[in-house]
Amino acid sequence: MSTVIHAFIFIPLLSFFALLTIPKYKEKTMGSIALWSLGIQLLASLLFTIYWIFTGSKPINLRDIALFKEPNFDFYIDFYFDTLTAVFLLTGALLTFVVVAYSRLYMHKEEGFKRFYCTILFFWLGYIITIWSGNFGTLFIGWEFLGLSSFLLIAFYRTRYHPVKNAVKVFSVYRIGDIGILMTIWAGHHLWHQNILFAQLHSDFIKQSVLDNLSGTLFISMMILVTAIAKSAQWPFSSWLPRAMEGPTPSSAIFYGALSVHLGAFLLLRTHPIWESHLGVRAIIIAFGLVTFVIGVFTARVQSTIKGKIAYGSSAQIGLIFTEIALGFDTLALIHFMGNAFLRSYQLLISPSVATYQIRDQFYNYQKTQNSKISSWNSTINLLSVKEWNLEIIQFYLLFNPMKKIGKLTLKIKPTVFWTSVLVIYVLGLFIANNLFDLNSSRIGHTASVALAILALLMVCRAYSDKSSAKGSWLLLISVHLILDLAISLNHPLNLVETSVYLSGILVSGFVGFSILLYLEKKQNKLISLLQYGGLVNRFQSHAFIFLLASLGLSGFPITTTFLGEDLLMSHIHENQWVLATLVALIFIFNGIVVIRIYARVFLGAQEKNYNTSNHLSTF
Amino acid sequence: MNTSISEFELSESIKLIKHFLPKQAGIKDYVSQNPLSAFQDRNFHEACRKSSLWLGTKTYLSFSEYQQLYAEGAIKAKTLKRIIKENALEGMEQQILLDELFAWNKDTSIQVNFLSVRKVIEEFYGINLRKFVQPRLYRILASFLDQGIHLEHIFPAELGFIDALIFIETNSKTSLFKNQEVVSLLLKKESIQSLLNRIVGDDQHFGQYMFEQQMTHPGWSGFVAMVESNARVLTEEKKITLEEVIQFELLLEMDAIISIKGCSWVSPNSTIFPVNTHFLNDDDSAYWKLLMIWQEALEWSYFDKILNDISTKPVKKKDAESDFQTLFCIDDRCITLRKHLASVHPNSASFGTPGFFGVEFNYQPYGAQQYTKSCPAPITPEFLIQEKGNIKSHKKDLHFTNQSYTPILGMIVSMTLGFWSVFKLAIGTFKPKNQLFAHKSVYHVHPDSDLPIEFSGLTEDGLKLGFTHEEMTLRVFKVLKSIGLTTNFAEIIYVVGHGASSVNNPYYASYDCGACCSRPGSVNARVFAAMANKKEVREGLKSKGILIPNKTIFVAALHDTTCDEITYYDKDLPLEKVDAHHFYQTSFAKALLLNAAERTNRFDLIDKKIGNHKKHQLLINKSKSLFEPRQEWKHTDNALCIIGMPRIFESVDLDKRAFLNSYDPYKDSDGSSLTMILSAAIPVCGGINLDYFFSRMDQQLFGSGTKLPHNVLGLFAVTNGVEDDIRPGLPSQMVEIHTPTRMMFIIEQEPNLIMHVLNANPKMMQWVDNHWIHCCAVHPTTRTLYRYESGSFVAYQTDASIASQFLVS
Repeated sequence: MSTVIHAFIFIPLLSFFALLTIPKYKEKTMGSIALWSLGIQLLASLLFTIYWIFTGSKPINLRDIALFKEPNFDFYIDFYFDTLTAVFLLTGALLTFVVVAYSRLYMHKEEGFKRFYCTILFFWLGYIITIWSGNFGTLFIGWEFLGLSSFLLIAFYRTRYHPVKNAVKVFSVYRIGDIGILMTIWAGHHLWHQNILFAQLHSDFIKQSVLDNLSGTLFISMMILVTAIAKSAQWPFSSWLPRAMEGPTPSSAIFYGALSVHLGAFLLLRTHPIWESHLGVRAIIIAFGLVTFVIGVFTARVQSTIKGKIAYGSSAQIGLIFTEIALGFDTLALIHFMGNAFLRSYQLLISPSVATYQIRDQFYNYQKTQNSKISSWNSTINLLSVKEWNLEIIQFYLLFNPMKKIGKLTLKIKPTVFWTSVLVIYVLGLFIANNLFDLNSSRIGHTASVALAILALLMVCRAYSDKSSAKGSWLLLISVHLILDLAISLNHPLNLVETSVYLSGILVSGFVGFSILLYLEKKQNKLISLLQYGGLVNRFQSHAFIFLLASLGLSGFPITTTFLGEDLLMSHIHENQWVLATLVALIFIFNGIVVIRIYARVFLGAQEKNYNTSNHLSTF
Repeated sequence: MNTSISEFELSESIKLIKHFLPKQAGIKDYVSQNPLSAFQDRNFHEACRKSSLWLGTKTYLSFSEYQQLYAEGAIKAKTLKRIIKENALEGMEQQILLDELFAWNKDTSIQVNFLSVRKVIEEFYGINLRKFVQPRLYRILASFLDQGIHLEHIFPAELGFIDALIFIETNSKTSLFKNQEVVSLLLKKESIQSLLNRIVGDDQHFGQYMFEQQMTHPGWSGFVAMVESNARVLTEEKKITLEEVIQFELLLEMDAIISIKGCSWVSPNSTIFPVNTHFLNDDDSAYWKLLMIWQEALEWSYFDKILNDISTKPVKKKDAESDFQTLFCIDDRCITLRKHLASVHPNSASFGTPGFFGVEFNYQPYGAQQYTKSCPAPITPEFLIQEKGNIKSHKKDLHFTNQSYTPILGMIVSMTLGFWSVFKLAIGTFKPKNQLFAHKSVYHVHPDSDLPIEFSGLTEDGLKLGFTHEEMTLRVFKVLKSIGLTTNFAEIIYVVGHGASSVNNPYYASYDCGACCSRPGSVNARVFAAMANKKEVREGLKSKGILIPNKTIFVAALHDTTCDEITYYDKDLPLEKVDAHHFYQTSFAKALLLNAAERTNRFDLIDKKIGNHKKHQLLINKSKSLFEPRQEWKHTDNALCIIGMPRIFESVDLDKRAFLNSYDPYKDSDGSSLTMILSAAIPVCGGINLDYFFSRMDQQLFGSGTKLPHNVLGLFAVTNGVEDDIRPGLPSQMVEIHTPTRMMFIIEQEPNLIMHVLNANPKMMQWVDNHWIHCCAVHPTTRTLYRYESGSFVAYQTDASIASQFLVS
């Protein structure tokens, strides 16, 4: 059994690496590899599911390799298969297979054919890991993969301004949703004193724990909900969905019409036992679902672009799916998911035809609109819907404005003063940590660590607001991790292994990224600022790719040990220290947003110009 | 430019802006235009330079691309040297110039100084106006102009733009703006001058500020200007003016500024502006000269070879009598079919004339509520032709139903129809079949329907339902005379219109016949054939000196250029002609097959070794594949327009790069036929050529970029994403393999007569004299070549030795 399950992960993984090695111009080979890999997956999923049904359709759990093990912290990969996995697996495999086949010709001659297929396979890998995951840790790996592939596909036309801007926006929303999973892992660690498996969720042990610790499970439920609504474009995040329609049509169809956007629903269904006994949580889910539904329906009515209309139509239906889940109609929700995914992806794929179809339809059946009487009520709703119910503004004021404001405040301190004080604090902290480790578990240690975490958060905010130099922001972000490591070790001692697990990834990728920035500045003979999109990918393609890897490393993406280190650090925060936990989670999340913003601003978003001119009248 | 503004000059400023905006109608009637029409009164190269300097566009290839073409042999060393000689700068050695051409590369660039008033203003307020204003502006504009993506109209249909805004502002409980002050300005309909006064302050710079503001979204502004000038651009008419848009945009800018600065701010005074802003400046550095030389060398490397062939290759002798004759559109997609037809059936002759066949009218299909123009865009027809007598039902495709966006039905639809979609999607991906939402040229008019063309005194909508006999005679006479078909009529004359088929393609209209206003040419072919078959018309023609024998019959047909299929409108064919017709049909079938096979050479993904039938099938599949962004190459590589007898070009390999208009130089002593031909050919072919030319040069500003992420906006335009500018022009999938050359008109006639015709028509002369097109004359008897050079035709010597073939990259 385990080989079969491994095959599900390894086929996309191997074909992804195979694609990476194939030269750009070999479109046919790349197309075939992707098609075969997805075809085999589809067939395997079908056969596996049939076999599973005939052998009694009992949930399967497979405990896999431990990536890191310590007495009070172990991180291992775990796979889980049940009806929910089966439905998402079959739907996903079918749609991805068809879209991969569709794109072989569609993407022909397009610059970035290889990039497209690599990203699609990377997405598929993330999707598979997510739906097969047996614990939150494994799920988080898949989740991060999905976030990154989303960013890459929205910013597929990477030298244009709007796709890049919107990709950063969507990535940020996803990242904010990730807070939920990080906090869930932290709280779960303390609540259940083990790395909880999804297989265990239905056991009495969990049911008892829910009853025993109502506030703890309530907290976890709310965190899961945050992640789910961000991923599934629910209120107040709905407005990212239409803005994600910047890539080639098939990628929009599969991601934002079908699979990616339904994963919030998946998460809710997966974690059902944790939140189902909290009536309040169910009510909140229903509230979010219905608000999204109402707003989505009204907004879809006044969308002027076909893809925007489909996006709001889809997000409204997902609102209903959320409601169905909260009411306990799981099977209905699954059917609704499949139907909605199929319908919206097909509608998106044939969306260019709306011109032919509807213009012809009007030619034969045109009736002049008679609507001189529009009620005040109607006008109000229409105008609100045209403005997307101010969702963009709400998101800005809720999420990014505070960060920007705080960052602006810290910018009032001169760089030399700021850096000197950070250095002094760091040295002082190191001294305390090394010489007075008795204090570590005491109150003073905790207070000091909170203070340091606040400092780290301020530094992230400063990096977010300071657009004058890419190098400066990058250095700040590296230092944030050093400070954070110190902060946690003041709270609870970290041994050398733990520290190196966390910091090795940071330091390596930090160094690589910094050297690339230095090199580019030297090559171009000017400072790289973040005030405008630089579009350096035009001229420095391989540098851009390496810098992307470095950025991922610096933001704790699961390609370096830092990813484990993040969970490890979180596990050193005690049960009642939720302030510290929140601070640390926020730092991780915002850090990732700032890092990806640096990558986008330095390398993406600007066309190469034939001649230098300050005449950039148009937005392209 | 006059930069100060007063009561009178506001309209002047707006006129200037409109002059520079793209002039493209909606997607339902795509008509190719010269994207630089604003500069048409200038010399071509001056226009290219100034457009770059003023609007930031790219009008030439890059140095490395030219050098690449040189390396591939598309630019010939000999031609390059000659062009250098002709264009040598004062006091510059030719060798140095040659070295310079190769010294520039990707990294060398020039600095163009552009002093932006708007930038000064943005810095003054510390705000990125574009970021705040554009998303809201686009959304409101799109909602106002929407043609049917919306489920519901939010503005009353009868109101103009500003009035509609005032309506919704007062009628709703929420506001368009963030600040109450701006609302009151809207309600007062505050004038543009007063708004500019508050934002810009110094009236010296009003004009330029507005210009720059509108040029940040040329797509939207251009479309609004089109709607303003011609309400029929949209099905559902909208009252909007560019002035209103500027007014609203200024209000939005006020809103953004107030949000940052509070409501009492000080307008900037004149000291912040750079002294002496030369907005419309010029730059005469060598950079432009070098690009010009490269471009001319690219063009003449090809023209020179063709001209050489035309003047030297032996002329084929033709038998007097043909089995059948064909009338094709001048379109470059028809010439390969004509060539193959001549090869499989040597005893046939073909003629080329603009694909509306000289009959201009509006066409209303059976059951349609509206009618569409079926003739070149500049003509306004007085006639209406209605399709009668057959019932077509248009089936609905449920996937476009608006129900999927409504609350309750939406849920039911997604739970039921959704599962059907996945089957449709799988079938559409693996086994393409005809879709209900496809565009197919044969649907334009049903083969079994009737098309009454006779005028019986009835009118509809002010349009005459049909033509009188005199009107018919005149039209048929003009066409026959212009192409020189006045004797030697064959038994059957096929009148072949053309159209195209595609699916999932918002540019579907641009694939059809340009001379029929982006519709298939089938109706025009049928109307022309019916006219020419009328007894009364033949009588009339006889009195004008054209005797069509009784045995001759005209048969209309439609050539689908995407599928290479032909439909005959032969239901009224007399019995005695049926056998001959069937026999000729086999020749057509063979020629179509060869044509299809030849067309596949330009498609990378089609295996060249497979049989012709299979190649043909693959092309047919292309026309119905959801995932095919290149159904056909359309006018890609167009470069020539040849006006003359077939014999001058028959032995020349034209590939598919030429528009061919038949013309008999001996039967046109007064130049009237040539005038008629050129008056259509120059703007239509020249417009198509320059649309391709500049879309290829700048995919961002002239072209619409790759069509893969395109999003249909309001059923009238395409855009990227949900809040971006409208994208006029051609997508990269149409122009990526296009070799950008201006069009060369080769006319078989004495240069003096051509000169006479041009001099009598200043509009044509402007195209030629400013070098927007090249023009050469081939003397009908001596076959000597003449080239138009500043003011007259001068004998032209080709570079005698042309070694390698012109390669199409």
